[in-house]
Amino acid sequence: MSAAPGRPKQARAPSGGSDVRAATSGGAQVNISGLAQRRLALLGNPNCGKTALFNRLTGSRQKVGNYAGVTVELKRGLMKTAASRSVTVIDLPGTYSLSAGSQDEAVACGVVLGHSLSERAPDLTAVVVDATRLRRGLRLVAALKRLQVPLVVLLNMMDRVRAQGRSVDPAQLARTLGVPVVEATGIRPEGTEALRQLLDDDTLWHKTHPARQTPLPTDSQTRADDAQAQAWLAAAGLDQPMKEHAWSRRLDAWLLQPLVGTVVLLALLFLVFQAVFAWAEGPMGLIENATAATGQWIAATLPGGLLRSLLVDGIVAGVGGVLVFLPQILILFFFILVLEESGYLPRAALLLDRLMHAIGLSGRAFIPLLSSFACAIPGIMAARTISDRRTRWTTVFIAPLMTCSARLPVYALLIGAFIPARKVAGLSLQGLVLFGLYALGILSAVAVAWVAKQWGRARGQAGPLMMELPDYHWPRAKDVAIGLWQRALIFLRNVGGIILALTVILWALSSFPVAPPDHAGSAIAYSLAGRIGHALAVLFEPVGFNWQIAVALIPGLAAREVVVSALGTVYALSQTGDEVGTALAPLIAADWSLATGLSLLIWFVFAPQCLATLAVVRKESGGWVLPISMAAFLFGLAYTAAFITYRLAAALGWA
Amino acid sequence: MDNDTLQLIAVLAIVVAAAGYLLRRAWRKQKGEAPACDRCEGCRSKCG
Repeated sequence: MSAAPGRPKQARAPSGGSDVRAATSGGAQVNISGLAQRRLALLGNPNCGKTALFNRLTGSRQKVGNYAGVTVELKRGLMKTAASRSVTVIDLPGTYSLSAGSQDEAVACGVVLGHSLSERAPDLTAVVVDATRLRRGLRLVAALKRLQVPLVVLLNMMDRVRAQGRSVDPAQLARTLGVPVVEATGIRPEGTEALRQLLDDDTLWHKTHPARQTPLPTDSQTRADDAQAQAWLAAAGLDQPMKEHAWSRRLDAWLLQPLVGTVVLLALLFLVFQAVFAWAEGPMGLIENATAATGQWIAATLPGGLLRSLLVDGIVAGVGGVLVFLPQILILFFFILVLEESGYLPRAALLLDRLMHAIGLSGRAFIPLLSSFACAIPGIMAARTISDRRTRWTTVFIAPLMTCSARLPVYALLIGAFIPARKVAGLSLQGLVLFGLYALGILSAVAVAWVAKQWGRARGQAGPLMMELPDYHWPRAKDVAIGLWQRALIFLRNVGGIILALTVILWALSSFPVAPPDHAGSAIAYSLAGRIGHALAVLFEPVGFNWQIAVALIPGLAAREVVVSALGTVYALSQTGDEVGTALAPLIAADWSLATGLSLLIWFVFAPQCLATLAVVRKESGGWVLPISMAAFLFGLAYTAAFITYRLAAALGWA
Repeated sequence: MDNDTLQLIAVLAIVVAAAGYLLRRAWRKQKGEAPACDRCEGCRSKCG
C-alpha cells in the first residue's frame, strides 16, 4: 500500500475500522493507518442509500432507514478492493448542497472540503446518487467538480429505474460528467463489485486535492451548480422526469390528509400497544417457567450458603425478572421496524408538522423524538439535524420524556401486577394503560415544548419542514428479522452485562454485613442496602414508595430496567427458601398498595432515571447547565406527579 | 476447606469481577472509548 501523494504525513488512528500498526526498529509500535490506507468518503443526498452501501462495503451493521436523517455523524469502516487493497470508508450524513444548514450537514461538508479539524480530507469522494432523483445528486457532483475534489459517482436505486422501463447508462453518464460512474447498491451482495474493481485504478487516487480550506459556496454558485446538473441531464438525454410511484401517491392522498391521517396514525399506535400485551403472553410464560425451574434446580443442587443465595436470590431472581420482558420489547420493535421500512415514518413527521409548529418545534424534531422511543441518546444526537438552535435544545430537553424501551420492563411489571387482565369494550385494559403511559409522556413533552415556546417567543420561530418523502416499500422480511435479531442481542447483552453486574453488586450490598443471630427482623434490613433504603424511604414516603423501591431506584440510574432486577433481588432476599422461584409481580402486588404501584408508574414517565442520557446532553451542549437543569426539572416533575397520583389514589381508598 | 469457605471465595470472586466490569465500563465511557449507551444501533459504533 502506498500513501496518497500530496497528503501531509500525519499518523493518526481511526477510531473505527481497523487499527494498522507497524513495528519500528526499536520494537515500539507505531500506528501507520493514517499513512497506509486510502480514504474514501461516501457523500450524497439524505436517504439515497449511503449507509446501506457502507454496510455492504465494510461488513458493518450501522442503522439504515427509509427516511432522511438516520446518519448524523460520520462512521468509519474498512473495505477491500477487488485486488484486496484496504480502503478506509467514511460514511457521511446526507446533504443536498455544500452550504451546510445543520450540524450533521456541516460534518459532511467539513470533511469533504477539508474544513474538519478532526478528520483529514478523504483521498477520494464517492457521490452516491439516487438514480430516480438524478438532478439533486448531480447538483452535488457539479459543486464538487467546480472545487476540483477527486470524485467518482455511484448510481444507486437502478432497480427502480428499470422497473419503470427506463435506463440510465453509467458509461454514457461518465462521458458527460467527465468522472467515473458505476452502478452500486447496498441491498445485493454483488452490488458493490463494480466499485471494488474501480477502486483498484491507481489514477483515481493519484489526483491531488487542489482546494484546501475551500470556501463555502455562494447562492449564485449553488444556482450555477443546479443549472450544470440540468445541462448534464439534457446532454445525456435523461432530463425526462421519472414517473411518480402511483401506489405511493394514492396512499398519500389518504394518509397525509389531516383528519384521516391522524386517525390512522392513532389507530396504528393503539394496535401496537394492544399487541405488546396480547401477543407476548405465551412466550413470557415460557421464560417465566424456565427462570423458576432454573432457580429451583440450583436450590436443589447446591448446598445452602452464600453462593446459592447469590445465584438464586441475586442472579436468577434479578436477571430472570428482566429477561421475561424480551418478547414485549421485540413485539414493540417489530412494529417500529415495519413502519420504518415501509416509508410511513416521514409521513407521520409531515402530518405532525402543524402540531409541532404550534408548540414551537418543527417536523424535523419528529425523527429525533421518534428515535427516543428506542433510547433518548440517539434521539438527542439526531437533534443535530435541526438547524434552529432554540428548536434543537427544546427537542433535546423533551427527548427523555418519550418512553424509551428501557422503561417497558418496568411498565410491564407494574401493569401486570396492579392492572387486572380484563377487557374493556373488547380491548385489553393492560394495553390501554400502556398506551396511556406512552401518551402521557408525549403530552407532557408537548406541554414542556409549549412553555419553552412562550419563554423564547421573542427569539424567532422554527423554520418550515422540508422533507423528502420516500416511496412506500413492502418491508423486507429479512431486514425486519435482522433488525429484531439485533434488538434481541442488544437486550441480551445488557442483561448479561450491566444488569447482571449491578444485580451482583446489589445482592452483595443486600447481604452484608450479615445480621447477627439475635437480630430481630429480616436480615436484609440489617444490610448496607437495607440501611440506605430505610434512610431514603423518608424522602420517598410522601409519594408512597417503601424502602425496597428506594433501594432499587439507585442502581436504576445506570439503566432503568435494572429497577426490575433490583426489586427481584431485594424481594427474593426477603423471602424464605420455600418461595424460591416465585415471580416478582405477585410479590409486589401483595406488598404494595395500588396507590404505590400507580405512583411508581407515574414516577417512571417523568424521572430522568438514566445517567447516560444526562452525560450525552452534557457532551452535546458542551456544558453542565442543560443536563443539570434538565435533571432538576424532570426529578421535580416526577416527584410532583407521583405525589399527586399517590394522594389522589389514597383519597379513593387505594392506599 | 469447608463448604462455607468455598462459597465465600466464589462469591467474592464474582462480586470483584462485577465491580471490575462496572468500573472498566465507566472508565471507557469517560474516555470516549465505549458507546454512551448499549441499547441502540444508532450509537453502538461510537458516540460516547
